[in-house]
Amino acid sequence: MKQPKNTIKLSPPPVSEPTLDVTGKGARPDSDIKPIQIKVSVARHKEMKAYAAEQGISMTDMLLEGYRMLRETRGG
Amino acid sequence: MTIISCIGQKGGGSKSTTARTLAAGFTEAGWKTHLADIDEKQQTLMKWCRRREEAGLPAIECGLYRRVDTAVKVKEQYHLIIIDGRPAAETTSMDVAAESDLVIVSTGPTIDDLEPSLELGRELTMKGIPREKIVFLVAKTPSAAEGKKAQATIAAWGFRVLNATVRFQPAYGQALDGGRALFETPFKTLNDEARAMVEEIHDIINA
Repeated sequence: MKQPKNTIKLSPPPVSEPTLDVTGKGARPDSDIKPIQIKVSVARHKEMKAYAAEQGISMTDMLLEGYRMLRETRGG
Repeated sequence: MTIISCIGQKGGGSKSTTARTLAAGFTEAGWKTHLADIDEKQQTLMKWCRRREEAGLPAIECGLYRRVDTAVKVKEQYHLIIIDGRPAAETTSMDVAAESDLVIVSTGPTIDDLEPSLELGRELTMKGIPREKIVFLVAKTPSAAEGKKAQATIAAWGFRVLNATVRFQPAYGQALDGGRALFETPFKTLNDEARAMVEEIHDIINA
């Protein structure tokens, strides 16, 4: 008896197999974390860092809180 | 307003051919259509549109853009924008796919063509492009049997694939050389097959 014919040319890989990333590093899912950089004077940096520490939050949390408040105030 | 894009993982996969044929088909059907060429180096679409105009064929609006976001800025002026991706997949492929209502990945039927195209499809979905927005087209197929096998492979990878295929035919190349679309050859059967592809895309975006 003949073997059944192979009807497809290529089997799909396991779901867990990473892709070749041909679309580059700029193509990242929205949930990825990406750094953001701002430049301030040394004095302002110290002041901000100290204030965040006093409040018991990170610089990131402090800046994000400021962003949230600004959006609430100004809208958009 | 609808945005269709034609992208691929490698050159020669019939992206521009598909884009041009769709543009001609939709323009003929009364859609105000714009072809967006984002390949500054080759400018395949721009040159084809020029050849088309010189041949006295119905003109198709075409523009050359450096960036995808600039190309889609004109969307409100048209019923349909067709974006032809760059020769090989790179960062713009994601931008193009994200802006599109339908992403057409055209591929040849050989494993050499299918594998990178399917990998691109897999990558797009893993990076957040909904699977239902992607449709594959088997082009440059030397026979119906090869086309069917390629279609079955694409389906096995979980992607939608057009029933229509584009055969490898010298007359198609000659048509494109003369500024014509795939359904504007002197041969009825070839024209009908190309029109079937356009109509299938039409049905998908109107579903």
